[in-house]
Amino acid sequence: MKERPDDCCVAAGARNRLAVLLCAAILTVACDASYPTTPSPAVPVALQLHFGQPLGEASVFTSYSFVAYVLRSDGAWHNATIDATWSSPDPSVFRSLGTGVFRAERPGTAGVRVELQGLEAFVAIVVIEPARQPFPRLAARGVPPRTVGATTQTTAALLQSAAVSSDVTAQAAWTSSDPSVATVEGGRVTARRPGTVRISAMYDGLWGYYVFSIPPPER
Amino acid sequence: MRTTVIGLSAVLALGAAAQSLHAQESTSGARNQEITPLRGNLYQVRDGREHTVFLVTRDGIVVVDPLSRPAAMALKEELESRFPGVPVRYVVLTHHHADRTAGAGVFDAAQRVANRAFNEQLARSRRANEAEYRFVREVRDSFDTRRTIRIGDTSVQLVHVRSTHATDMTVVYFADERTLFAVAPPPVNATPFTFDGVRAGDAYAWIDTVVELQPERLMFDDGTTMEGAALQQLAEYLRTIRNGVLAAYERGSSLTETQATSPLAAQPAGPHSSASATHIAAVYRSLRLVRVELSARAITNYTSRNSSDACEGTWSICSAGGTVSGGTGSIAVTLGNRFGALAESTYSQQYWSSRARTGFQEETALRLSRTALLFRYGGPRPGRFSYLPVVGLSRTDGDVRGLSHVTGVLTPIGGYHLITDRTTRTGLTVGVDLLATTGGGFSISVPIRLTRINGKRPEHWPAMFDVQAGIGISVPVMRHVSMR
Repeated sequence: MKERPDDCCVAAGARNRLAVLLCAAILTVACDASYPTTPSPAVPVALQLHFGQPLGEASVFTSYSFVAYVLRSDGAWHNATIDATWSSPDPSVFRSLGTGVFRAERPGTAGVRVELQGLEAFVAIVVIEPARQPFPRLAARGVPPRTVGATTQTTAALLQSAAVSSDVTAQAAWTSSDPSVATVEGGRVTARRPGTVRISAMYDGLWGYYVFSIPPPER
Repeated sequence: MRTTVIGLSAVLALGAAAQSLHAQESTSGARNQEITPLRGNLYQVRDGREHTVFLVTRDGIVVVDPLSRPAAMALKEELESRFPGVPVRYVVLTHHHADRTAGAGVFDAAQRVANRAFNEQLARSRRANEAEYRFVREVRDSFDTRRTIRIGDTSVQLVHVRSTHATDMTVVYFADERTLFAVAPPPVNATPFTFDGVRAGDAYAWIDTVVELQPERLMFDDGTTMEGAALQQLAEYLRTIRNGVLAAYERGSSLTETQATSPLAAQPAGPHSSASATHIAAVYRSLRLVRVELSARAITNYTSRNSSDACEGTWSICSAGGTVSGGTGSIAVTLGNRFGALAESTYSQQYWSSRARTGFQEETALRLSRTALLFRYGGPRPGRFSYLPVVGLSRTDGDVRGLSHVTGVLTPIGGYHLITDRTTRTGLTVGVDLLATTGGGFSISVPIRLTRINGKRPEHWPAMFDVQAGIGISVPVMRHVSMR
């Protein structure tokens, strides 16, 4: 068997085709990663009713907005205001206008109830006519903190008349309805976690308060 | 009946003429042309310094290379007088050069036969020198590699050969006479043989082709002759040289090393051995070797574990990188015995990463696939160990799947989120292939690669660098040797 120098190729056709295929595969294929876990759909586990703005007593003929937040099984908060069902135990005092908006109709005691998938939250609302409130009285005022960890100053004012008032912040006794949501000391309010809380001040037998909410963070 | 009478007359005339020619040489009166019987019905024509041959059969004459036009006219006259009634049936043209072919038109009734490249080469030469080629005619009967003319009771084989002299070169083998006629052969008659004036590849191809015909005698256009046995001996000698040089070349030996370990060392000295060093040099320089190997290797891929890149920030828990197993496939082309190129692809198992801080947890699987085009210095050396540096560009595809979990935050940020990301990065890959190669070309290979990706590190990739090492086999799938 003589070997010619220009004819020494030892490749078989099939092996060449295999080589071409392998080469093409080498140059084109990239593999996907795989992750075995798929999270199950989250379900609501808690419902909170939040005030749109700080509120003491509600004034007649004034509208107020409320927000419903659910805490889901995956640990996330979700704004459920639109999905929830809103109602008032006494619509003649505090009437629902739908999707978390209420209007104070006449003096009295009523409340706001919100329901979602078997969960329920309720807050009592007192409706007054401000012009007919007696003196002296105590008013707690200020801009409460909106984010967890933030601290703001609240003041307590002793109203002797419509024109005379004095600051009794330092002398007043301050309490929080839920210290796990917000704490208060000398009128300084510190937000601890999302929720709704009532901050009260007592001075010389007088009592004033306001309710506010710390919303869940957006990020 | 008429055909029979003419045929019989021709045979009688042929016999008479043959007897006459055997008895004495004949010289054409007007030209210095001489016709000499060679073997059987094969005759040699000498015209000046040119030589050619013709074969007489009962069915006609085969003329090889009618030379110049005057020489052809003189030859035609001689043939008509010596072989009346025997027509020239074929004019075989060994190549297109005018000094061999200008007279072909004289035998206008004969069928002109030449290699397929004849007409193309003729056209090219005619463009360069129209006056010289004005009498040279194209051929209509051509062949690619071989053609057998059957005429009378004999046959004539025309075989295309590689030649430095002309690309359309043909040798003519007369089967009954076991004689081969060749024009401008490599210097096979020289002792010792020399590659002077011819390319080694052409000489080898010519000799290999001619030896296959097994002629007893060779006759050349300069009038010299050679015994077939001498050519066979030369062919075997050159084959030994070539095989030995090729083996040394593939092993990566330099020319000096190859000459020092002469492939003829185990053989007795022959007529050409004294020039073996130059023969080895000529063959070594003319070799063209292309090898293709496929490789498959199991590898381990390592990236820095919990690198500062992946774990920078306020993570209370961070786990990334480490070692995963994988595999590579590659196709390598080696040119000569020095340079090669590889297309290499790597597939790995997944890297798992997890990170956590207050309110945030994340776990991801990352699969890196890499394609690299690498240049390699050196090639597999049969029977030896090789150390081959590689460098080149790579492209890494990273596919990420995973899950993040954000708590205490409003949707859509809060909650579980699937992570899906595919990112591609180019990079620079350097490394080395360690090969232990058998005589048959199979190798055990140990690849080591270091890759650095370019640009910014994708968020879920563990590091900018990775290192691969493994072990596998390389299988030769193609080996092509040619000689210039």
